[in-house]
Amino acid sequence: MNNEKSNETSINKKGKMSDFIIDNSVTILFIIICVIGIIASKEQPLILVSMLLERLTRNSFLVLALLIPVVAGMGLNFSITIGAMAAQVAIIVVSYLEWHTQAGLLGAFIISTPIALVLGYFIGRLLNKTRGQEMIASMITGYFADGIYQLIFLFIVGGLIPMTGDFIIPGGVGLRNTIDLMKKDPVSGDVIGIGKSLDHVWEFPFFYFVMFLCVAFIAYLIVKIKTNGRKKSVTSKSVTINKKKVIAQIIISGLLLIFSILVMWTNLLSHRYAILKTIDISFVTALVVLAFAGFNIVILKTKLGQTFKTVGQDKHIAEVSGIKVDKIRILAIMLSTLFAAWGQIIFIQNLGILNTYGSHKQIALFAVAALLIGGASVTKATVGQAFLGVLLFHTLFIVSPKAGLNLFGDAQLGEYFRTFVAYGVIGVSLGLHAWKTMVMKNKIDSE
Amino acid sequence: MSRINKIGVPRLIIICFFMLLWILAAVKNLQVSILISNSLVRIGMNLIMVLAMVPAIRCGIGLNFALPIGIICGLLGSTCAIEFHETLNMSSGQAFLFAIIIAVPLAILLGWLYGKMLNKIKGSEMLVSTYVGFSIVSLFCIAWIVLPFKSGLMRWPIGQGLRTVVSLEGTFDKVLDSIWDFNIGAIHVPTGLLLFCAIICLIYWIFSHTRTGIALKTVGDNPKFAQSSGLNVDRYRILGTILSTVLGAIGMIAYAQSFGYLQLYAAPLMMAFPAVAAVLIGGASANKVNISYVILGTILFQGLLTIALPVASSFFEAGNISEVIRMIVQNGIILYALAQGGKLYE
Repeated sequence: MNNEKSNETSINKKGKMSDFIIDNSVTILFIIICVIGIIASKEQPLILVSMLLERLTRNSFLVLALLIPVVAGMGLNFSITIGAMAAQVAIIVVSYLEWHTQAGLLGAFIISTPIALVLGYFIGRLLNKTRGQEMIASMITGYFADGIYQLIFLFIVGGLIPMTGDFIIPGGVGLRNTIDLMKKDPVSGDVIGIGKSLDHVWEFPFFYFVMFLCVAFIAYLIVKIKTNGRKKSVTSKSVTINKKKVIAQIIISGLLLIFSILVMWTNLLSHRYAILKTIDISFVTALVVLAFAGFNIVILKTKLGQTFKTVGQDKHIAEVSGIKVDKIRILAIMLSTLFAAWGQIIFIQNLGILNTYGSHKQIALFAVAALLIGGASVTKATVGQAFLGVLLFHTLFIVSPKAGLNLFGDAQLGEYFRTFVAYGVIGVSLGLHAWKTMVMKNKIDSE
Repeated sequence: MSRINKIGVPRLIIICFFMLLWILAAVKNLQVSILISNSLVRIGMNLIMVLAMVPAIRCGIGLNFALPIGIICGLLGSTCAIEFHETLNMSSGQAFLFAIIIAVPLAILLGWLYGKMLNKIKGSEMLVSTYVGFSIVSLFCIAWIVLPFKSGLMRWPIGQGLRTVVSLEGTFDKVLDSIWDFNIGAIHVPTGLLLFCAIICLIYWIFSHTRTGIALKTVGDNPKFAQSSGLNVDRYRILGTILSTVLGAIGMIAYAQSFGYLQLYAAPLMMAFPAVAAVLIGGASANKVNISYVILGTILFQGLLTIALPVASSFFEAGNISEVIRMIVQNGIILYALAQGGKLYE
């Protein structure tokens, strides 16, 4: 995605600065809000970085689950809530059967898969019937499914579906509000629930990870420059500008590398920053998320990915060229639902507690808001935008209560502000997109 | 078969379910008279907000998911009434009127702005309006803290801002419900409330037969035809949006007086959905609506919700089953309508 961006900017360098600002206005506005928020909150760097890291690893998967439907032209898939419900069903089952730690987690992934695929198939069929209104239909489908989910777990489990034990509300029918996934073995005192079982596989200091990433990235860039230089480039102009960009990237990575080294191995920094070395990264979780991000990039280059793109760009052309559009759209939603389910398992295991009737409710709202804040639109979204969006959105999430407290004397105000931002950013993005579509349509009509 | 298709399968299921519940209530020896009384109140409480869907559908913006804009105006009017009713020494009837007088101009202003916005996004009204509704509710979460209301009836005793639930006791609690109310046997009839709804419906019915009302409908039915016959489509769409927002505001005030409390902060977030569902259950679609649909839909939907809980709890420990049924029925019918309407876009 970096390539694409740099090419775009390099080609349109002259006088296109204003276009760049307009196209990325949401993201730029957010960067400003976040900077103000960080300053106003006076948050400790230790807390900020560690919380951001945790949220980045646990939320990115869910946001990435939105990408395929966007490419397939179905807009933002608000029904990832249903994938989350599939995950929660699986988590409830493994917790009830007392499958412990990593085995339980694996069980949850396996059990959630068929549920999510079947549900995804039905959502896909429904969305094929509501063409042109997929987003609102997917949102309402989410609410509808939430009703069914509650009906099952509040009124049927314990009654028609026999379940007993401390999961059930006293009285015999319905699941409790919360399920503890960090349950300890009464004898040994070890955690036997699936909570944190992915995170705890291998943890090590975060800044070692940063150093590794920086070194790898710089090496990659240097190789890129060399190969670029060797090629007799057709458009020499764009290469030179690319080089500037690459050098800037090298410098930023280098600075980050130096900062990491200072944090880990020296005492030169003030205490506020020096204690950053205590932050650990859940390496396996991060690896899973990065691998999934890679998958999203790679799949678009395969034949299937091209099919998704063709369907997304023009259904009629796709139909004429022999693509079964309806089937491809169903497949896109099935994949999205499945990934949402896996993402929700990663999310819940990190939290260590399952809020039976609440954990899934805000998933779609926050994921969609994050993606849009990263600069995505209804028709275009990239992996980079997903990560940037999660970073910005969750920075705001962390700092806004404290910023509200410091600026207005009320933490609640900051909390309401961030909810407003989540809804508002979706409303504005969708509105702008609808407006552009209408202008385009009018242009075509008048021509 | 064609008749079943005309009514629609989900609608048929809901009607059967509705009748089944009432039969069960009678069989189980529940106090049917109390259930009927409660249903009457809830039908009256919700009717005007459902009616707010009519001008929106008629003028072509479709189901108005941004009803919270009107609702917020209604809440602002009501909070102002509480704030000033002591200093201005208002009776409860005056306070009720005062709330409406404050709310309506606000609703006209916001409805106008919102209508202008909708004219720029033709074709995606439903989705965008949903998020406009959500945004304004969450914006007002901040406003309820910041606005300079002083009345001790509304503010938290300690801390900032207004309470999440504000009692209307002493202002206009039950002001409509208690006008000319009477009992038939054990059934309590809130005459004033029902009469108020009837009057508003009548006014709207008369309006829809005026020149403007007919033009409004023409614009919604066939914008191209309306344009070619010299009607300003965009202006009528704005008019429809304003009317819908104003009805939402009045509907909220009527709802609050019957409920006895104002629910601030996040409470209005989802309030558009029951209204949308009711009008759809009554037989409306995204481009066809009638006042009779509004009345039928409200009776079926609110009647169903009132009776579901007592009937269910006569069988088992039912908890909040009414809420769950509301979610399933309400969103199911909206989905059905979307799936039916989807064919228009092929």
